[in-house]
Amino acid sequence: MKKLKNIEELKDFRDKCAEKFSGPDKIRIIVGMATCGIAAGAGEVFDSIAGEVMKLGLGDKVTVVRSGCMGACHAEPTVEISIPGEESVLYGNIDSQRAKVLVKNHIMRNEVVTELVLEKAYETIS
Amino acid sequence: MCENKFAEEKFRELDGFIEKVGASEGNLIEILHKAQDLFGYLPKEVQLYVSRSLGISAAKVNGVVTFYSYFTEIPKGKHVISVCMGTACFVRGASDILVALEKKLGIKTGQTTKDGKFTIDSLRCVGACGLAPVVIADGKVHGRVEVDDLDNILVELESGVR
Amino acid sequence: MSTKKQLRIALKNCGVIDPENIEEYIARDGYMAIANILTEMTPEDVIEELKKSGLRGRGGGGFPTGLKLEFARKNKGKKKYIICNADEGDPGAFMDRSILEGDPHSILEAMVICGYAVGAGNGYIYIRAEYPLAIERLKIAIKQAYKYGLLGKNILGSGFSFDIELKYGAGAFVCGEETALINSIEGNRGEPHFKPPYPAEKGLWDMPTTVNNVETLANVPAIFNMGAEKFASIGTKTSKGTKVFALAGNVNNVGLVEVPMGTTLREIVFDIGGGITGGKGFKAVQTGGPSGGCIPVQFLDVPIDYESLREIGSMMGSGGMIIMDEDTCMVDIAKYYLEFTTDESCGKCTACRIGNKRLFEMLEKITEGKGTEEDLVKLKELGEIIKDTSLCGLGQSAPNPVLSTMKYFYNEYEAHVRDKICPAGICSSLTKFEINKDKCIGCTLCAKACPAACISGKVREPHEIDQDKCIKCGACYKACKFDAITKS
Ligand SMILES: Cc1cc2nc3c(=O)[nH]c(=O)nc-3n(C[C@H](O)[C@H](O)[C@H](O)COP(=O)(O)O)c2cc1C
Ligand code: SF4
Ligand code: SF4
Ligand code: SF4
Ligand code: FES
Repeated sequence: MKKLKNIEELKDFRDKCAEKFSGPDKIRIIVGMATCGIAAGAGEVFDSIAGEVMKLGLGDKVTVVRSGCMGACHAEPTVEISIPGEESVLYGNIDSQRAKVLVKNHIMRNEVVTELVLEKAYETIS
Repeated sequence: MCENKFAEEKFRELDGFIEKVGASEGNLIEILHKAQDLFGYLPKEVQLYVSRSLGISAAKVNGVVTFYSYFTEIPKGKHVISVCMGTACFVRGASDILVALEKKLGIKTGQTTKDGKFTIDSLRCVGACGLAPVVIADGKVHGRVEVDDLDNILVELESGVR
Repeated sequence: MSTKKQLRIALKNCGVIDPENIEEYIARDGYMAIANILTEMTPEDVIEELKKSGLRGRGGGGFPTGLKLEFARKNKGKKKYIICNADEGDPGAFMDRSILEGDPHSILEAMVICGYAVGAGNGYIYIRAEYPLAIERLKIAIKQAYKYGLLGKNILGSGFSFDIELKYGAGAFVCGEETALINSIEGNRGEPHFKPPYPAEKGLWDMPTTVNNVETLANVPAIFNMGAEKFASIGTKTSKGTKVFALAGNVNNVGLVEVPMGTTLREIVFDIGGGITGGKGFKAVQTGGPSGGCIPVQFLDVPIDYESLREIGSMMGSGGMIIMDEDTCMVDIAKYYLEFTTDESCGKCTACRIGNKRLFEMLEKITEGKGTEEDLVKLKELGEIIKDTSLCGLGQSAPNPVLSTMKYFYNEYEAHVRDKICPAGICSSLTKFEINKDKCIGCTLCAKACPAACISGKVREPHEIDQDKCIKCGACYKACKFDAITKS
């Protein structure tokens, strides 16, 4: 990557990045990995999800992402799944076992695992 | 003798670091951080070494070392158990945990057991308030700790040695 | 689902993007604010826009950010500096850490914007050494920003250059105070000095400097992306935008919340926080950390902003919000904060160094059941004197936790002093655990739970506590399933 030289280059690059991360066939599984998440075991959860995604051959469709704090520290580790065209779903109190269930049910069968859902109680400014 | 050799190596590494960041007064705190990382604490000879390397008075270095609670002039035990005494942990019973731990090890916070095995520390908020009360044993964060869990934590630490 | 009470501006990318990948930040319009500014706006325009937005400092003081930048712009100096205050000393607060761990590029972008506005070419982020993950992610972010030409020389071909370096704290709360922080960056003991001169005139290496809090900065790129008017349309008359709070203590949904200014405490504690743990009663909310106060139940419906919180004896502070249930002893809490401030006083002025120590000693006496009514009068008098005569904010605000709890929970102080009881059963000298022989079935659970091994008794026979050895930890009280242990 060479340096961006002006605003046009930045805009082009932004559009390219946006396409890369949020195309219509891009499923994102986000694992909250701030200090508290990691202390609660988010590292293992991430590995478990990444492993399951590989095992089930979902590597092309699904990106597993390490993010910062999602705000629900009381329910760490937290995982958010967003499928294009659908409302994203926030899950709490995930361990490596439950992580696999999420991948199987939510991604493979498109079934929300209701008993682990946390209410997403915020809006984001655009 | 073996110890000396280690020390020499550490001083050499410290030299390298000072060269990298620059031997200026503005980098004193950063250099002391590195020195404490290397030596585990900041004994007189290390402080003197830093003062000579930067060309500033030893009194100035010592003034800085004693001002900041992160720096310590006494060596710590093999294992350090820190109880978070941040407000979130405090209102969730951290002081009970600290008192129980002090009783168990027979030392006060900041002290090290005679056999040099354990040091008790208290610190303020590691940012895992959601898991309060929090105990950090040799860097590992234990959340939602109860007095009953302390034995297990101690055993885990000791068995890690062997 | 309930209507959404939270609105995210400062946290808009937190928990959404991968903080270690600049491309994700850019995909969400990252660095567009600075790009637009560098191509279309003069520094004066930038300051004007920030003033219009109404953004005020989130680090505690609430000073208008645009005005602060304007001062630094107008003051002359060979060099100028932008400092990001990431010391986050309030114990139990983790807003700034979360932003740095979740969205580090927004802070870098904001610092470049401030640098352009002020005419500064260098920025420092002063971060506490206790935040290793935030440090790591910042380092990665800085490296990436340089690589893409968004930091360093000639940013986006504009001719404007800006560098950012990290500086580390070493465990001194007072270093969060801006003049102490500057001393610390210079490699000195972190002692505050008298203001004026303010950093905007004579700051780092005596040059004009602005010190801004992490959350304040996180709002800056967002303001330029959404427009100052829109930002100013959120919040109350005097306080615009949102505030991030770290909700902790005896509340069900411990976590990070961001709400529009003017939201009530009740909405935060009960609607967002899910109420008190264990179904217990609410007693108080503490805001403002060691500088703030405890807010009792009668103020739960006050819409919060900088002014309203001050009026009820607390302050906005940086955003720590500790919820306390009915089992909390307010004298004990005041003592806790005083122990903290006594410990952290830099010792430069007598009122703070000695005065707060005396306050602490008096509180200690009271919690041990040795306090007198005279002590209560003295507490208040001395507290007021310390407030008036200390040099920096630490000393000036240290008595607040005592004064506010005395104001709203005087009966608890009286109970400790007059009746020698701790109504919440917290102060151990005033509490006693006893086993009721009639109720005890001799299950031995308590004896197993006791860390001091001071409960004796045979299986299936009533047990007994050796009061001399008991450390009053309450473990037995929690362990007994037969309500046989009383706390008094
Ligand atoms: C004792 C003391 C501690 C402080 N600690 C912090 C802190 O940890 N973080 C912070 O941003 N501001 C802290 N401040 C406030 C700073 O002095 C300063 O006002 C602030 O960083 C300015 O940024 P803002 O205008 O963006 O709020 C502290 C002030 C005092 C008196
Ligand atoms: S008020 Fe306290 S912390 Fe502030 S300068 Fe004086 S002694 Fe130091
Ligand atoms: S309060 Fe604690 S120390 Fe005292 S008897 Fe009960 S368990 Fe033992
Ligand atoms: S736990 Fe309760 S019932 Fe059991 S021995 Fe102790 S006091 Fe008695
Ligand atoms: S108060 Fe203990 S982790 Fe924050």
